[in-house]
Amino acid sequence: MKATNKKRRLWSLNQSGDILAITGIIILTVISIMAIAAPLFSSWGPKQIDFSAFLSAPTANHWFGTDGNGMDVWSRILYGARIDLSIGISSVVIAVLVGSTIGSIAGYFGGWMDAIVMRLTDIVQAFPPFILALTVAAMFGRDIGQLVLAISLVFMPAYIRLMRSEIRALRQRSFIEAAECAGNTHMRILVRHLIPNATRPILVIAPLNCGWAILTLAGLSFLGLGIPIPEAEWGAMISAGAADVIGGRWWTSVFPGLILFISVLGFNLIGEGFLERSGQRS
Amino acid sequence: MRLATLIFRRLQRLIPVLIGVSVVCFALIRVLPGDPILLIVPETATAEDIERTRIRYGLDRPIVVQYWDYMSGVVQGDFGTSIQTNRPVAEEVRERLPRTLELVGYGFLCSLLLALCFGFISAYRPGKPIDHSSRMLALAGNSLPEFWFALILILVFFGFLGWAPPPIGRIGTDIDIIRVTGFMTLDAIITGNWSALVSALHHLMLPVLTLGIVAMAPMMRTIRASAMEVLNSSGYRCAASHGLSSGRLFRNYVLRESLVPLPVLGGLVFGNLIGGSVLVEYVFSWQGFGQWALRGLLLRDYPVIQSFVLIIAGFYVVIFLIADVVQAILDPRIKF
Repeated sequence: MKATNKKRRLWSLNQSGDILAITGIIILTVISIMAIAAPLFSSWGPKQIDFSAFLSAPTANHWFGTDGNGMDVWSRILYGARIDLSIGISSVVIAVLVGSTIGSIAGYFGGWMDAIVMRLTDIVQAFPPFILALTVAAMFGRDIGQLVLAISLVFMPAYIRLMRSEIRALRQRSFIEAAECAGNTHMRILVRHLIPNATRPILVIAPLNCGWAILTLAGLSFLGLGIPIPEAEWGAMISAGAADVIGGRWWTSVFPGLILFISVLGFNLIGEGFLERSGQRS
Repeated sequence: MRLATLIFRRLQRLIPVLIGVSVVCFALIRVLPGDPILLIVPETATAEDIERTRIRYGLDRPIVVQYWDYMSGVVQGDFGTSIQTNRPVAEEVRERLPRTLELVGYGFLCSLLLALCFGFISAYRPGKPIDHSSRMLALAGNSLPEFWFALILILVFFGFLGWAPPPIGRIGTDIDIIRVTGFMTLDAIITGNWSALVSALHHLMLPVLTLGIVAMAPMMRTIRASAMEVLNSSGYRCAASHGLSSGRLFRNYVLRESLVPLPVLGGLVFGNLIGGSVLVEYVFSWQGFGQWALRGLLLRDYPVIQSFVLIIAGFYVVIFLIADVVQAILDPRIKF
């Protein structure tokens, strides 16, 4: 009962932070709709080359201009949203699922399992986040599955630790003792009683991590370690246009970066809104 | 005594972590696909040539022997020899690391200054337009891709306005500077080379501004929160009603208290800056540690990768150790 109340409070409209979260949700909804319905919004394909317009400035035909290969920047931005948003979100989802499973097992059973898990997270957390993603991505390779894993690995220790400490705190409570006395199995106590009560702090930081995951993916692609170039991906587009920017042909890099910035801002607005209302300050 | 115990305890945890890091990295790069030897031998090399090169770099020996050999070198300051350049890794690190540290150090200072300014301004006027706009600014800075923002700054300040130097390297090509420490601005001051100092600062301007704006949000948020807590406390109200000057109130109450949570957060920000510096270096052709490591990673240069991973991890955990010590000094209530 208590849990549903809390959930409702997370969405009701009369508290500070709501405007932030709602703005963020609107931004991301608009971008997602345009990504899903990309063919409706652009007459050019993401890899279609216009042989009459290489590096053309924005015109009525090419709203955001074309890049050095004669591909339409606007349409590549739309199709790029599919890759960037889905990799960003799925890497956080994987980190949440795997991290909270490991964390709750370590927190519930304690002992040697807990000790091993904690030492492993220590090792992973001995790296600055982007450096970790960079090193893992460079070692494992650049297809989409491996990139998702590299990015989710960065977030996993935080979720493991968060879930572990939540579970350890909840374990002391009397309703868990009651559940144990009633003869529930460990599995049932963990899944039915502990985990549902421990998910709130995780849901609060997940949107912030989504924004960061997208930035990481774009950063890796910018360095040539992410999605390779003919594919429409924002970081790779910025990278390909970087040399043109210095020469004054700004549109190839500026527009993809702008949409990248706006989507990350959308996630950060949601995260900031959630933080504000949960009264939690990082 | 209290600090000595703290440092000892932390070192006890830190050393196993570093050993773990080195083992995992050492094993992973050898297990994963990619062979550094195939990248340096000529295309006409026979299988025999390849085998001979492999033996020359000691890569034919059992992995445990290689690890022992490498780590006993590291303890004596020998990080092996780069397979690509054939130069001692330690020498390359000495050349590259100061470049990056200079960038990251100034970037940190810049973000700290921005965070202090905006944090206090919004704490003193909560709910006012200036509060909202500085918080939005921090949020926006936090959402910026630093490599793209750097390009925008180049476009505006180099392309349109011509205020910034071309984004290549960290000093004008026409300027000679004697290397003392490897930190460009420090070397210029030591040797009294003022034109070099001006040129170095000029080149630092855009990358430092990029890093500063991108990294300031978390520190600003914390400063604002803790300053507001002080401003609303009864202790502060009491001091204010006794007629202390506002400058004194700020220095002795607000500033002092707001600094307490900063060191540990500063450690995290420093880590973000090191990560961000790889991207910013790439944009400005800085030829720093990050670019060196990136090349090593792409070319599977084992000694370079191992040393990079070990140095970054060592650096990062030491930063947190220092942060803990500083926090313990600032806040005597903390017990360990």
